[in-house]
Amino acid sequence: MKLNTLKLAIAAAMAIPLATGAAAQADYPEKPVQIVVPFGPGGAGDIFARVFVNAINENNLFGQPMVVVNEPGGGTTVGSGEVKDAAPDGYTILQLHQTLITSKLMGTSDYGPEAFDPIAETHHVCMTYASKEGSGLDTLDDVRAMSAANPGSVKEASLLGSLVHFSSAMLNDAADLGVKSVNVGGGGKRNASVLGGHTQTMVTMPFVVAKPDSGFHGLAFLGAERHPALPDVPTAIELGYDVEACVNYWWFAPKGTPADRVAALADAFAKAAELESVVAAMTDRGVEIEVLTGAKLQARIDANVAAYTAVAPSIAE
Amino acid sequence: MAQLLTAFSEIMAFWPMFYVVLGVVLGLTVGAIPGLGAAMLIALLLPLTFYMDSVLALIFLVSIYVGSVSGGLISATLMKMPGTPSAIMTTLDGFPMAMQGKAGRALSFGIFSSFIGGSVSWIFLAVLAPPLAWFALKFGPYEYFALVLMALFLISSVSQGAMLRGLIAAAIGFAVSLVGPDLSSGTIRLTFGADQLKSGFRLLPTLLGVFVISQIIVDMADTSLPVQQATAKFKDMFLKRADFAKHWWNFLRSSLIGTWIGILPGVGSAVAAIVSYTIARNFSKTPEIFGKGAEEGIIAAESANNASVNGALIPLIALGIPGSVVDAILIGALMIHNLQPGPGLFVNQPEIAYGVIAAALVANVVMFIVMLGFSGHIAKLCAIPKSFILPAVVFFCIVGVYTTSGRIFDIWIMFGFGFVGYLMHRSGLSIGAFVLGYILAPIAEGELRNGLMLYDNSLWPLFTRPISLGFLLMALVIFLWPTLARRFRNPQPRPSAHSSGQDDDNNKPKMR
Repeated sequence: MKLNTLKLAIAAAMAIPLATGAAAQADYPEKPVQIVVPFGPGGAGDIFARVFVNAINENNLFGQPMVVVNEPGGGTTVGSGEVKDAAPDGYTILQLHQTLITSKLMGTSDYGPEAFDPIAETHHVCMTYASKEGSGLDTLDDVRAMSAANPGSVKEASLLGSLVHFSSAMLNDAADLGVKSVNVGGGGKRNASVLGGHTQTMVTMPFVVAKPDSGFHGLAFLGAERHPALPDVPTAIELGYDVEACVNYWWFAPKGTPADRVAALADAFAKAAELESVVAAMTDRGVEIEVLTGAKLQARIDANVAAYTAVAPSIAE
Repeated sequence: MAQLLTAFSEIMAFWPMFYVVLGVVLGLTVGAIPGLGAAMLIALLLPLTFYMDSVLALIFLVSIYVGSVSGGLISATLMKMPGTPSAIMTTLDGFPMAMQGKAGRALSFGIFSSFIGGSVSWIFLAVLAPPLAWFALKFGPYEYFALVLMALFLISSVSQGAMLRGLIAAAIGFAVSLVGPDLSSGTIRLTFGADQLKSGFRLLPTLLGVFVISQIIVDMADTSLPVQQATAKFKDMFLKRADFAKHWWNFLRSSLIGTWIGILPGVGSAVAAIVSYTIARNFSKTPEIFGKGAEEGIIAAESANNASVNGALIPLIALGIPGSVVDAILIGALMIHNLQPGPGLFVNQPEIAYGVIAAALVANVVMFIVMLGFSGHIAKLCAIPKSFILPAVVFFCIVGVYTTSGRIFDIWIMFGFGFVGYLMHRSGLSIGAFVLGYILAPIAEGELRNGLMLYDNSLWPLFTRPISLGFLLMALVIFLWPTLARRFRNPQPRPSAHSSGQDDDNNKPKMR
């Protein structure tokens, strides 16, 4: 039943561009483009998206204005579902990251990245594994030793089923830390829980650890190379664990959007990523700029789907 | 201290004051209109503040926040419809007072309480923010659980005497809150296969339904309700010295409770009002008039909910940890302007940290002046025929619910709970107790399960951790206090005017 609906939706999606014909393509874009951000305003993802959209509008990189529309709710599925079902005409775009993968794995949605045409990845921020400063847990080895001496004694502040839970499960599996994830809640509550000494470790964004007097100590950075704001925190790869856990920010069009429109959008995002103002704004917030499109982008998304799917069984425990 | 004075002098300029007044008035307006609230308004205005100076933007947002929590008391008092969730407890006594022809006095108690709550908690914000915020970190899941358990224990307090009915109503509220995602494990429960229930019965449609829509049904069904004479001359709006002499401890205690609950992340001003109200009732000499127009009830609810606003700013400014939903949006506002809230903020951008602190007090004063100045006019709302007001209220409820979630289905949930609320009203089940169960039970459940996970399935730390043990003992004392107090008073041969009227249940009908 569900499969049939999906097939119908895809068939319908495919039919529309064929019907509207090639004549329209030369005119794209002829009206403002909606950028659906599936979070409330003010969150990190929203701010990053707005930096790009504002830069594109101010520098006239696209020919028509882009408008950010916040569609929070349903753990991002309200916004992503809306774009999935929107007309594939290049006028409704989704900005989202790996939550698109995890929400399918966790069963909150029945679709993942495969339900969209990826446009571009413009920026990413890799996770940091952190403890409380002065807690005696200064390295991953300390964590493992403490777990070994007293199994279950290292608890990690988490939001079960979320991106941070998946990221820590990857590290936990690879480095055999023996850490137990306990549900604490959203980002603020997780910070409070570690600072208050109720839990010992957490996965967080690098700037949370890097800000002065944060009270946190970085144990490992889960990116390919060390983060500029945390030069003293080793990467997991340096430590011998093949783990990379980042939040990659992807722009998606509904499935079946004409290739030239996807290319036009990708071009605008890529140009924005080169602007000095954008680079500065993102670096200040601890976010790294890296533009991927086409086959490279598809490969990164596929690799992420594989990595998150592989760790899903440990999440379900 | 010098930096705080500098911040005050900088706020006393045209543009900062313009944004304070605009923010407070906007906040009061959305606060007073059931369905619209601060979180929604701030979220809508946030993109506009991207282009504002960062200090001005924060002053503006804080002023909206202060205004909205205060505005809720207007509709709660005059129409029995809480304008914001934090005014739920204000309806219980504000409206009965208005029905007795004392609308002006009820508003006045609400306004003064809001101002006092805001001022007392501001002192803590200005002087003790960092140490208080660090102390609040000692609260783990079991401390939260014990705190909420204390409030749950007291459900009978808001059910106007009938213990059993209160518990039934609370159990229904509890059951309603269980539908949807189980936050501790992420699984979806009790949806009976309906996809639209996956996100559960959300706060806004549920509360608007049971409080506002049900009240509209009551108003429609009973057109014989008298239009009460609102006596709100400007002179009457000021409380007398005797009022302060009688209630000073309640003002202070409720402000302190509100401040503290505000500091705890994720608990919120509605819970602050609930806890403060139940404590006030249990320690009152005249608990039987709570729910029938007790001044003490209004004081407890309104002092606490305004105090919680400044309380919630404490962890935000000191640690970068949001105390409430609105604070989470404020953190977003800071991030947009590339500021990191936390201990570094006082050092790196003192003008921001102290600017927010100064704005909180100035907004509180502006709120007080605006509310007092206009309350005479506001009280006249009572005189407007219901046939004009009710459709507008329904309209705003629909708009508010739809803009918050973007789902038509939530509007049906709201109307469904309107009907449920009406049935409860007719069958004498307390809507207050229902909402208590609905709001507190999920927090209690979540914290209990988080605690069990953290402490390896042991309940023992609940009794060995000093703070949680303290709350449990306090719950016991508050629970037993009315009985104990009666015991102490009874054996004495000279009954006072108060005690003779409340000693046995046979006298109860007289209270009606």
